[in-house]
Amino acid sequence: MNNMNKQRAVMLCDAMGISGEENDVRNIIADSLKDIEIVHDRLGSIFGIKKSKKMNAPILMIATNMDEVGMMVADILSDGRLSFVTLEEISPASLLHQRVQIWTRNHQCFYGVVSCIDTKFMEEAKSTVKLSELSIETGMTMEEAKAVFQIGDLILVDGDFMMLNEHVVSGKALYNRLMIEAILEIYENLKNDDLDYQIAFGSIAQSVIGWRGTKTATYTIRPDAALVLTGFEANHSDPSVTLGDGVLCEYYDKQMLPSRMLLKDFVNQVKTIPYFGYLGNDGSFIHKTINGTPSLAAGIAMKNIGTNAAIADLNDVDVLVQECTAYCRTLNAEKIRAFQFEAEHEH
Amino acid sequence: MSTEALLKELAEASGISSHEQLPAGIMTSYLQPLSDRVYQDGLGSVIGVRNENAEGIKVQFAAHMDEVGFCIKSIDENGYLRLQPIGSMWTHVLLGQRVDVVTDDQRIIPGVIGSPASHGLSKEVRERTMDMNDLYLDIGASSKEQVLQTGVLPGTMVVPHGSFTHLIDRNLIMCKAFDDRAGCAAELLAFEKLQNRYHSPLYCAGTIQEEPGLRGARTATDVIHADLSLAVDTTVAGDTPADHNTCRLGGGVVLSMIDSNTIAHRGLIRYAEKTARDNHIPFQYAVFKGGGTDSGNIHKSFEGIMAMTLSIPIRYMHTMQSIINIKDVEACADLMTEMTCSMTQDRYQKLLNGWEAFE
Repeated sequence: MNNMNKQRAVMLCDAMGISGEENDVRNIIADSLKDIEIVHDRLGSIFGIKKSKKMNAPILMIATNMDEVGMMVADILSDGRLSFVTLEEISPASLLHQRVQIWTRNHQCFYGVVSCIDTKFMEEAKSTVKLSELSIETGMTMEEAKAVFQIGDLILVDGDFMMLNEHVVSGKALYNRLMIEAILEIYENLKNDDLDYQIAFGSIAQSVIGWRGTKTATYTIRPDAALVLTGFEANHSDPSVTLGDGVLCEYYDKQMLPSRMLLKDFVNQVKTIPYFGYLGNDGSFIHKTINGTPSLAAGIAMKNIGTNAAIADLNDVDVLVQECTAYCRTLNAEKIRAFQFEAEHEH
Repeated sequence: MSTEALLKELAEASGISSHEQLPAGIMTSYLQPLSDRVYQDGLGSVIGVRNENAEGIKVQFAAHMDEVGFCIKSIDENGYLRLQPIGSMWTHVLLGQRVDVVTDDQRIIPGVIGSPASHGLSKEVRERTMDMNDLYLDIGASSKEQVLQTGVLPGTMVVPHGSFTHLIDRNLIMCKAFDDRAGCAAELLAFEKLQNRYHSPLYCAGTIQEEPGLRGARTATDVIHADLSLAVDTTVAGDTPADHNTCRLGGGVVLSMIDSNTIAHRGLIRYAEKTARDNHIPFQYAVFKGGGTDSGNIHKSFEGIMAMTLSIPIRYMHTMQSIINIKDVEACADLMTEMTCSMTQDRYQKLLNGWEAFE
């Protein structure tokens, strides 16, 4: 990854983008796509449309999610601590003693620490922790905290991007933000290509919270085919995948079975390793929204997805960008329509 | 419109999910003189609309008309009836309660949910909650034939017997079904207040079948396709020995920040806070993931609809008797009114951008 792109990747990964408040991430994407028409849905998803000179050209959607897991202030307690709820399912074990950012209504950031005040950790070997035992210390009294925070403010687990070595990185939200970077690079590679189909490059808000934005984004774009990019969890994977494996292609997910024709075409053109997943991704809702869209999820292996210490290999991102760019160049309007043809017959 | 009379009439009407004819009739009668047109979606949600073809932001109110209750599942040879709950309830609060069986021709047959006598119950049985499948209804019949002769059939609706009652504090009222007839009342009040104050399209929807899965919210929203939606529902008040949270009766309208299927639109939240402050409308917050509201299906319709839920705090939700404060219903109607009438195209576009709106 070149330096400019790496800088943007760091910005994307470090940006605050909890479900429902993805503005900071969206602004980075908008800036990178400013040369083409921008389309929004009303939940915060953003797409740049690379048009074709051909009339009525079909649309390929290349998408990943924009939002990340987070928490919300539920109350300001009498000693100034903040109680909170998690927006998505987050393991309490991964929250204990983490540094967090608390974002106010005016998008100001304050820092705090997740504490479990009923335990003396130096004296007790506590091995399990419940969410209800956790709260956030901000160093403020109740009066100070009430002057700064409001119920409903959002909380993000701190996880600054860092290089573990020359190409392996760690940070929060890598599984989608590195994919946003990949999508923007694919756009930059293809922007001067003369294609007979359109591509909607973009990212989906309120997705990890249950694919809410996926539904509205799909309604807005009305794609003819969709390629979802995502990080796939390498821990406990079966068949096993790992960092450095290059492009993974999802053959099965509990939430989506890929379009057979799109899958066949993709693996014929691209060197991939099969992935079998259970988590779901934006494809889960793209493929079954409105009248149905042939969809496929591809991506790279990552570890510790859903925590603030995910791990990924930037070399994999580079391979993914090259391969997807090349794949898009093999596609044309006729092929995209043919993927759909199968879908029409199946219904 | 008197808030109190409206609440009494709506809450006393019987109407579980898919049996909303009575509350729908009341909604229609109030909407008729306030609307250019009153119509229904294909499942039975009632929609009143004004200024349908005018320019400007299309605003939708939604409150559900159904209440939690039962339908008759089966009738045994001895004339006892088995019940299918519709909407979530805890058997703990049902045993020994008086209910109304409402026949299709709207006759009310009184009955009681049977309870074993406490005499001689083993400690084990006393300490656990009865299984919902073991509940039965006693209407005093001695045979299946006698039950059928009264017009009670499988599928007949059963609702809590609750009549509207004032408590010591005259603002506190007790009745069944304030979830969500209180919301229906609030949206009607707001719809009335806005009669000469909002000249863009305004829809007031009484939705059906919220309790089993926000179904009318789906269909009514599909028919309306609004730009902005305010759903009104009730939320658990945590001011009792039984429940603890930041909401209390009399604390004002509740801005529901999150529920099990919606994150309130972050721009709209800021707008609600500002509007409430500017107009001195009391408000409070709920951060409660234990239940959902109509907003869950509304906000993800079409290309997305800017939405949030305004709630009325309620004690003893989904039991036979709930308590609310009339002032909270009025605060809710006031906030709906003010948020709607100061909504312009320009403001709407800014709100879509979330936190940037009030920089």
